[in-house]
Amino acid sequence: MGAPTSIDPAAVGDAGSAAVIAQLFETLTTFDSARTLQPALAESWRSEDSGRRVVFHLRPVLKFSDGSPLRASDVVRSWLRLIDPASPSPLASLMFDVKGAADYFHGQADAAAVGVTADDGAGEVTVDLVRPAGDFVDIVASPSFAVVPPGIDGTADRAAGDAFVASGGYRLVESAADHLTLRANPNYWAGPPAVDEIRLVSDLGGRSPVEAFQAGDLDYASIGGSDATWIAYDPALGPQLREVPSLSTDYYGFDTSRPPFDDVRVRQAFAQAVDWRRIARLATDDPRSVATSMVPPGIAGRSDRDVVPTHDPAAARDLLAKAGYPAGAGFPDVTIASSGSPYDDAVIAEIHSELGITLTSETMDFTDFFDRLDHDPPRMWFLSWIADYPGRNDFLGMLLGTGSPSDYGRWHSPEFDAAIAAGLAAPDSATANAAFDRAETIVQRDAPVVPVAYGSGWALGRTGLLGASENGLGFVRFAGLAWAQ
Amino acid sequence: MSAGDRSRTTTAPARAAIGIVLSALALALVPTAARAATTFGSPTVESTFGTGITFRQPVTLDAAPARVELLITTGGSGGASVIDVTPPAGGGSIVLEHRLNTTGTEHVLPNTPFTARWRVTSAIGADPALGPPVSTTYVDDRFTWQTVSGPVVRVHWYQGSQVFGERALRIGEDAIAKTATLLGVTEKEPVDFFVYADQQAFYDALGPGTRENVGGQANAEIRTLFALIRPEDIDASWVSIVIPHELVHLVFDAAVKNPYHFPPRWLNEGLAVYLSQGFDAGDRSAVANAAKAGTLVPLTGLGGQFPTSADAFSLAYAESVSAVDFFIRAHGQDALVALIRSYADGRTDDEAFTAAIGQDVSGFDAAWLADLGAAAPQRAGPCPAPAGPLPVGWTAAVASQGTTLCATSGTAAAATQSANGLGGLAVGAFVVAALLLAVGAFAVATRLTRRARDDTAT
Repeated sequence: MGAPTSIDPAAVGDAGSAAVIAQLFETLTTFDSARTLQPALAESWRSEDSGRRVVFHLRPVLKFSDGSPLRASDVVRSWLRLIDPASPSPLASLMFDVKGAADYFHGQADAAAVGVTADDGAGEVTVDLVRPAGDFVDIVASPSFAVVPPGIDGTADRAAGDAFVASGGYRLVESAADHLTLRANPNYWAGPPAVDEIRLVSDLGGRSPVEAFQAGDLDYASIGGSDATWIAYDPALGPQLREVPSLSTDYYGFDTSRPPFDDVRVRQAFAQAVDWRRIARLATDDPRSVATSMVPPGIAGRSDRDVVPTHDPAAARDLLAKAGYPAGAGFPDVTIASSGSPYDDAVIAEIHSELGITLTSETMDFTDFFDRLDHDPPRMWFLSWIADYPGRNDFLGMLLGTGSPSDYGRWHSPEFDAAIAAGLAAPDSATANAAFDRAETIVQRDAPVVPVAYGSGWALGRTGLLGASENGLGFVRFAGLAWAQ
Repeated sequence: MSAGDRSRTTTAPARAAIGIVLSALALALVPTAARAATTFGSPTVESTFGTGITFRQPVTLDAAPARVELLITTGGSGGASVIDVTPPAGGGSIVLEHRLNTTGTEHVLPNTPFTARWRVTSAIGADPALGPPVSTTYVDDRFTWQTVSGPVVRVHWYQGSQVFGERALRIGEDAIAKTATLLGVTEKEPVDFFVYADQQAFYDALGPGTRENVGGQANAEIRTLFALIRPEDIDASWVSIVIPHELVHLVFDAAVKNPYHFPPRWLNEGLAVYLSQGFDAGDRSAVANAAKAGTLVPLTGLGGQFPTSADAFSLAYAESVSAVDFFIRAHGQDALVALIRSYADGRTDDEAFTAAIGQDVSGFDAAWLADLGAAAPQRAGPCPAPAGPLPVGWTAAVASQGTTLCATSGTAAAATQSANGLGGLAVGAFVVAALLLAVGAFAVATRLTRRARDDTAT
């Protein structure tokens, strides 16, 4: 991942930015390194109205880093920014379980109609939901829901310095071209973090992270799997090697709103022409990384069924012919767009050999690519999605639900939407999982997307550095770090 | 949320970091490609080594376009790298311009071919207009290069006599022929071989981050070899090692080329050493000593990057050539050819080895270790991070990995802290490279053995 595109929680949709934001701005709940939900700014919460209402009770005497009070109304103000129709978050649909949120987002209601209210006196935030949504307390652990100070609008990205106001464990005191400097927030709710200053380095001048770590210039560094293989046997570095969980899925998507992929038969043809499992196995060299569904391992309730489309080139050719493109004849030019994919060459080769279609690929800067997905999606693209929270719907309804801003292929399936709604409203986990299973089967059949591989990661953590564990959501909680004495 | 840049294997050139300049110059335009709203003139490109590459495209627009992009393809890369260029505010005849920065970490290797096309989209959702292509090769223009060509290799040098160049050419051609014969392939595409005569110029050519022990580097994407050889050294023994070593990589790459999977590095490097210097006494001794000391890294640990410390790095090469030597002794040269061809068919490591010798990689690894009389290497990691301080009320996470392996690491001694962040813990600054996952490497460097580096001392 690269340097953050922004440090405004309401402006970003990528994990690299979220990893920084999570240190600067705190959420009401959070997931620890074991992915157990823990209270953060909220001291507790309760469910009412058969799960249709959640009331968060804030910790007493919460403060921003400048000493100003952090109130329930700050929470509401921060959350409404996500669905502000004037500048919505790329992850706005995380709020769509809240009454009135979708209407406000679509400009069909005003903010007052959104079911999020504050009682500053009682220190409570009340959330009214459109359905019983037991996972809402999980959802608000996403860095998108972090609480920001008043007046942050339009200033978050140029506020580094002594005046920076944080609600998280750290303040951003310096923003340079090749690094950020964070300093402990003395008013952090859990007490000042043990490590006073942290530098986030984004440019090592051509050195590898392993070299920089060995030189003592880094104390924690994400590294590639190709280094982890030898480091595992290195007597000095091996004990400092960390296996980093990653709740992420690599997938291809299609723009289902226009030809040729508006025809389900074309999508099915592409989905069945390629041996996705084999491509993943060959590219990742790790059988554990081969995707069997959109939902990666580690997500509660995930099904172990393999719902990746079946590899059946003959059926694919038949489907393509029925769609009006026999042997690929007359098929329009299609380019796979991404910010970098390890699978494009293989996909292009297999589509060519099995369907007679010549695809091309284009790679662009991540920020430009993400903007393109939002506003003018390519006909076919590749994306890696990491969990905002460890729930199945973050990889299903979030990415494929009708009207979701992250439904980049603009897929619309009432059948899928109904299954998702049933899953979210289910009274128990078994019923919910059965509904999500149905949704996955629909995705397998209609192929608006095709999952390829699951993420994994490695890091080096300095001996004596405590608490440097990632939780699968893409970041370490810096406020939980300390040096062993 | 999106996981962000996952360009793990992208070969796109580094993206320009400097601004875009749009010039409102009135020009006579040649309508080489016409659409309703866009007329393209003849594009141009200029490059200055170590500085940048400037692309220009005269264009006539009916109105301000919604999007302007520059599509760049480079040697060996399958797809285009797309650069969003700020669109002009209005229509008319203008020159679109973009400067690709090639300084610092945006470095581009010399001899990289570029082809660029401009793409203009009048409105979001509309079909774009694509301009004509323009091509260039990014040359190291700091020197006046001489060139001598053979059937496959083209040697370029700037210091030394014709004899020097021809000697380098002979070494190169011989190496290509020998490797092609061993691997059962035919090399037809040209290989460019650039010889630098001084260290700084050489390092400048390879870019930042080049290690001190690099005396040569092959880049398969552009089929180019770079080496540091002073004219007076052309007859030194190490030269006849360095050149073949790097050229083996280029032949190997062509022989195994497939869109799915690249073979393990130990096989690539092992072959390069085997064919350039053999499994010599120094490497035999290094491997034997490591086997005795229990410091061997198994082949499965040498599939990707090699260790960074000088000794471990050198041992990795020695192990690699030892394994290749064992492969040929145990299974013969035909099996090696079969192995290479299996990779070209797009097989996993296990499939390729099984097809060639009836053993998967682990089986071969075990047989090699047995041949050496070595015990199975022991892992030293990964280990779980020791727990840090937790807020009051939070329960400690349960370590789930490597508990037995790391029980004696001593790093978990202070893992029982559970105060609110200040529980007697050391306070200090530390640096974290959490943002550094994507390297976006354009060139995959191959490195010489330490011994060759020592011989190259300049």
